[in-house]
Amino acid sequence: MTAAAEPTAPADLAELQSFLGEVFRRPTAVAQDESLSRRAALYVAGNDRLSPAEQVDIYRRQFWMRHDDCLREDFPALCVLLGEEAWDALVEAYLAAFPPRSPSLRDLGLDVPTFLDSWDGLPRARARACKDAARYEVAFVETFDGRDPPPLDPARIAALTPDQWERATFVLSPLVARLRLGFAVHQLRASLRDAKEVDVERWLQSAERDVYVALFRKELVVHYEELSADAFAMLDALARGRALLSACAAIAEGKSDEDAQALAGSLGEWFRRWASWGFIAEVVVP
Amino acid sequence: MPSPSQRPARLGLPDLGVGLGLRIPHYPHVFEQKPVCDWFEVISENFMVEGGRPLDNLDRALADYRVVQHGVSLSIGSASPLDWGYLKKLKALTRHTQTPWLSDHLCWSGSDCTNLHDLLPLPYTEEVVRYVAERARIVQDFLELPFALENVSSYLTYTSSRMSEWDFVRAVAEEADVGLLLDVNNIYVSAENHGFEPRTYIEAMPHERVVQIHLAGHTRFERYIIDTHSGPVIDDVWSLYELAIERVGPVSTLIEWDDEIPSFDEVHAEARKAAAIRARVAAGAAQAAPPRAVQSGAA
Ligand SMILES: [Fe+2]
Repeated sequence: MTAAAEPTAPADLAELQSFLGEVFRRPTAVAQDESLSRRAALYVAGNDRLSPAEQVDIYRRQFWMRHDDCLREDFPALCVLLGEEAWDALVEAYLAAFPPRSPSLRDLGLDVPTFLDSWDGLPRARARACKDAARYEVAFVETFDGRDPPPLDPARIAALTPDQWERATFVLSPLVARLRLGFAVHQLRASLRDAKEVDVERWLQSAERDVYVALFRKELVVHYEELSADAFAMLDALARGRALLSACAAIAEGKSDEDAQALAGSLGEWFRRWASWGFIAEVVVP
Repeated sequence: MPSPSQRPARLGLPDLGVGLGLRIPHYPHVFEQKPVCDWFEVISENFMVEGGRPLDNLDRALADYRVVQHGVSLSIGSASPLDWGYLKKLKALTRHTQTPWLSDHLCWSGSDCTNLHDLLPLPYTEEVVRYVAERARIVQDFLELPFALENVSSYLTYTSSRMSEWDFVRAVAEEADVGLLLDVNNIYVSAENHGFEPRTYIEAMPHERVVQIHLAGHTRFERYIIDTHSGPVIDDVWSLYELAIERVGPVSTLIEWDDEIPSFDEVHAEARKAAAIRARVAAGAAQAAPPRAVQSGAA
């Protein structure tokens, strides 16, 4: 079946949909805009209770309610960090910059982190926390229903010889998101999920630190795990395709002998845990 | 195309009884208690994902129940080309669920690459009938499944409309040769909003094309009604349902409840009401029918 077999839309249908598709996405009432109301009356009939513009406004309000609800559900941490007023401004500006395109509402907020990078409406004191929350919450959406990689036989890892370990590269599961954050937004989100009251101002003071988080799915549930800086760097290096020995050397650079040894000593435990959480999708021995 | 009298009832599709929309708040009850329910309807888009919890939930439902797919994003009346990426995913899901038919709405949801995630009414004209019917044929052929279009509720009418909504719905279904999902509450909502007689609408449908019925609650505001799928089905809608069953015969019926969702048992009580109406209509029809010996000579 090719697109060529499809009929061409009647021109007046396309014109009507272009007009309404735009006015339904307006943040303010069509009925309060005289010239727009006159244009709406060209397409929409109205009745004895509602003017054409008022009929259009029913759909317009629903557009905002539906998409606001959806974004609130996907971004609970970002929403409390912004507060109601800034949240409303964000939703309005975001949907204007990134109108919904996907058939699925699941994809609605995927561009929020990109949008926040250039939006000037973020409260300055909370900008970093907001950006972190947005990245974390998008990672959550993608981890929740992403595709499982084929299962890796644990025997494959167990059977590696010491020499193979050093040369091996690892393919990480696409269901592991690695996030370097400036605020512990994973804890904020967990508190909100548990319906705990959060004093945002106090939380901001206590939560600012370097945070390394892996977000992953195990047995259908999305989990987070806070990692040490070294463990995070190792995971990052492996994700970029570096062999274990070379990754270790890069991370140990500049460390004291004692710290470098501690790093080497931690490796076994890291791998055991990462493998049990399904981080490693494939082992490649050259 | 066979004439209406030659077409079998429900276009030959099975009558599954009375089902419910499968909704997240009911998952624990449904998956653990496995309550009696004739069938469940699932929203296709909720399961058009790559993996994880949604697909696991779907498989749990499929293990114990008959599942029928219902979509909300096809946008059959959009002036933009069909979304083939969407349709391919949809077809893959139908293979997984083994849905006996597939439905979506006779509406548009966006154009110019945007998706408003709404079920917007179309202007009722001959040109739009031809355009939508051709697209519905393409969709049905591609999916290789019986396809049904649902009438939507609406809050506006167009200056360009040249026919009644029921003539439009009927014409699209006939020209596309597809089934109808008759949403009786939507007929009521639109009738109240636009001032027409809902019984005229039901009488005018091509009854043998109705493969499924939807029932739901709605919310009444001062100057209009919105199809919120909130609250129980109101008495006037039950009366319209009875008329629809009298005309269509026993047909798969589904209760939709999407806002302020109460317990499973409360929603299922609505299904039992629908089943009672179906039984009453069937008993009335049996009484009205001529004696069996005269009805058929076959053994
Ligand atoms: Fe419906």
